[in-house]
Amino acid sequence: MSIRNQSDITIIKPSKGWLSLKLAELWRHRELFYFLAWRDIKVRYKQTILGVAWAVINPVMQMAVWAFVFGKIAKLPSQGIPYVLVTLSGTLVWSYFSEIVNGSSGSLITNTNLITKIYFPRIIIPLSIALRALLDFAIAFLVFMVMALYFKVTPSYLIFVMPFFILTTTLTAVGFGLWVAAVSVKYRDLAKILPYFIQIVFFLTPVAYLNSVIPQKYQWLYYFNPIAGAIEGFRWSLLGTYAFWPRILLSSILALTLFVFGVIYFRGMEKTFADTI
Amino acid sequence: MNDIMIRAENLGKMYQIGETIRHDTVRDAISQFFSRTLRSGKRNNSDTIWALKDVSFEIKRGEVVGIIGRNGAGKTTLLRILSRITEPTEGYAEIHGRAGSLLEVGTGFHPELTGRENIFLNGAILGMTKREIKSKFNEIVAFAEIEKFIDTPVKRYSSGMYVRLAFAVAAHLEPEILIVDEVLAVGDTSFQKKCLNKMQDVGEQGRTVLFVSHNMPAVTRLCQRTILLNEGGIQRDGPTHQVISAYLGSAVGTSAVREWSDLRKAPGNEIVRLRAVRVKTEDGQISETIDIRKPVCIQMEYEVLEAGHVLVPNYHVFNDEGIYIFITTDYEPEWRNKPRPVGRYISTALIPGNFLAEGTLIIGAAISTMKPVKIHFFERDAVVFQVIDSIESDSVRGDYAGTFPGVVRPLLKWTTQFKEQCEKVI
Repeated sequence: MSIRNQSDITIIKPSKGWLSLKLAELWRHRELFYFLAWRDIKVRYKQTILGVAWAVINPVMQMAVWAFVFGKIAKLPSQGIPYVLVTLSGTLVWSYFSEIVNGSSGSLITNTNLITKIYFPRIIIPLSIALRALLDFAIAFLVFMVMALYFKVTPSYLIFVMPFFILTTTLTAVGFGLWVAAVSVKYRDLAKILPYFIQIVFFLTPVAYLNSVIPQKYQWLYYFNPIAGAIEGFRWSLLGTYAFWPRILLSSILALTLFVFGVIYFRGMEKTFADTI
Repeated sequence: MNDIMIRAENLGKMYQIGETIRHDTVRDAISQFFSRTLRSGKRNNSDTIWALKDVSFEIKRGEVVGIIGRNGAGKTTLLRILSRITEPTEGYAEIHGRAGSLLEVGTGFHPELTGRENIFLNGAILGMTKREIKSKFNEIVAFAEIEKFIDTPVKRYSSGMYVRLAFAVAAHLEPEILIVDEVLAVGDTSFQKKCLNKMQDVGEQGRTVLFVSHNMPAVTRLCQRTILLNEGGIQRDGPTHQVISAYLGSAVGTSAVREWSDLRKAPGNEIVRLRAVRVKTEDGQISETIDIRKPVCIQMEYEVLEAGHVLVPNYHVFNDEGIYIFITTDYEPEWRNKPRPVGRYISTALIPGNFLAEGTLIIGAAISTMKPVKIHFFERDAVVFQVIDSIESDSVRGDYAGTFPGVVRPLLKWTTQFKEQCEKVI
């Protein structure tokens, strides 16, 4: 049973054109949003011995691998910062991004039973994935802070700017994730291509290296990669590495555009989900 | 205060059938666009289907309305539209007040989570707030009778426990309008009665209920009004017993009365012809539904055209599974072995109350002569009626609400002897 409307009248008719965002309705369903994220977190660590520790282990392992490959083997420069911190900061943002996108892509399909049996704003499903990812990020961020203190790299007051870059990452990931989720309902092919796409973007993004490593003539590419901008700004706010402001500004605008596009597209497709899924 | 809770006007839902993915190439999409435009916007009828078309109705506060129909009649589509799961293609509906829909029991249950966790999750999915769930938590657990297993993952539950828990959560949602799909088909039988009672409570509290079911006895018990859907449209809308017998009657093409106005076309021969067959209650009212506790009169009216024959009217009683329940013949001394004069006769057989099983009964009417054996007519499927069991605990089923098998359901005399002392076993 889904409670549809606290107010008096619900009108049901074919919708014309793009729907409004129906924010009031979204607000009424906020608890469902928390509960879905909570369910995913609960379920993920059921029947594991280490439980929530995996939220720490995953980024640390990734950090170690990339730091070894890029720092020890490739010996890439790191502007005097311990290489593990370079990779860990990159991995934090990247994991957050890729978890949202990957999670969103199949989220509607795995929740088919909800979509065909109950009404609620469908956007809650991919949004709850973002909430879950944010929680993982928060845990990993604590690991980062411990590491930073261990290496005696104390973040300056700039740390208070950091949330802004998490915001742009969220906008990018959710915007793109919403689009992927909506398209995947009808064309499952997308979910199959996605891992390759994500992998390519990984190497095009300065996750395991600093973007100063890339030759000047290719630097313009980063203007079109909102995640690259977010990571650049994230490192700048925590580690004091170099940041090129026009690039960060442009990538933030791109992030917002992606988000708006994703939301509108999702809202437009939403009404057909129950019929096509 | 407006008393109409649900108003639907010309609701329609069209589905594409066949290939769901069209426009494989841009060229296809363009050519299809033009061909469609040239046909002045007419859609190609061959690849679309109207699951629902021109459905209009109003439901008032406190009404409990059943929706019946064959598979594919559009029941589920209608429910899905009213639950806002899918949008109508055309038409309009408005719902006044808080509505809850229960199209499946246990939607969103996660097998890895415990009973406790699933109550909160499922409650939230159904639209309850965390506070509401907390305040009803104990009640839900008690209703589901799973106190001991509340912290066990539901994947270890028996299917009965699972369904009980799922229904318990849903039953404690308190919307003004409740939209329910065939949910009573699941669960063990003692629990079914609990659910039926809970549903009845809902109706009596002035809540509006829309109930889709194939379970005719349940619809009869719960709903005063029923809407019969057929091929996407409303075929009938009215008092439940009328609509249900129309529906069941249409299945075999008969109802509680059958009359032949044209004698030449009536069943029979030059000796005797059938004029009418009727199903009546004990007070003489024609009725398509009979209370299981009350007797039912089966009446046949016939015209004897040639004098001097001994005639034996008889009825053949079948249930809706086609099982031949019994034959009854008129051996009353009044006309037994007596040649009949020409004229019109009415013969009535009285089937006692607390004898037939609940469900659809199909009566075949015949008149024969025994010496030598000759069947003058045998009209199969002459009339149809429903036997309805109450849940007032004074029929054979007593307090048991589940499926009650058996082709007849006689109320028998029982005796029990009580001996105070057990004999010692040496």
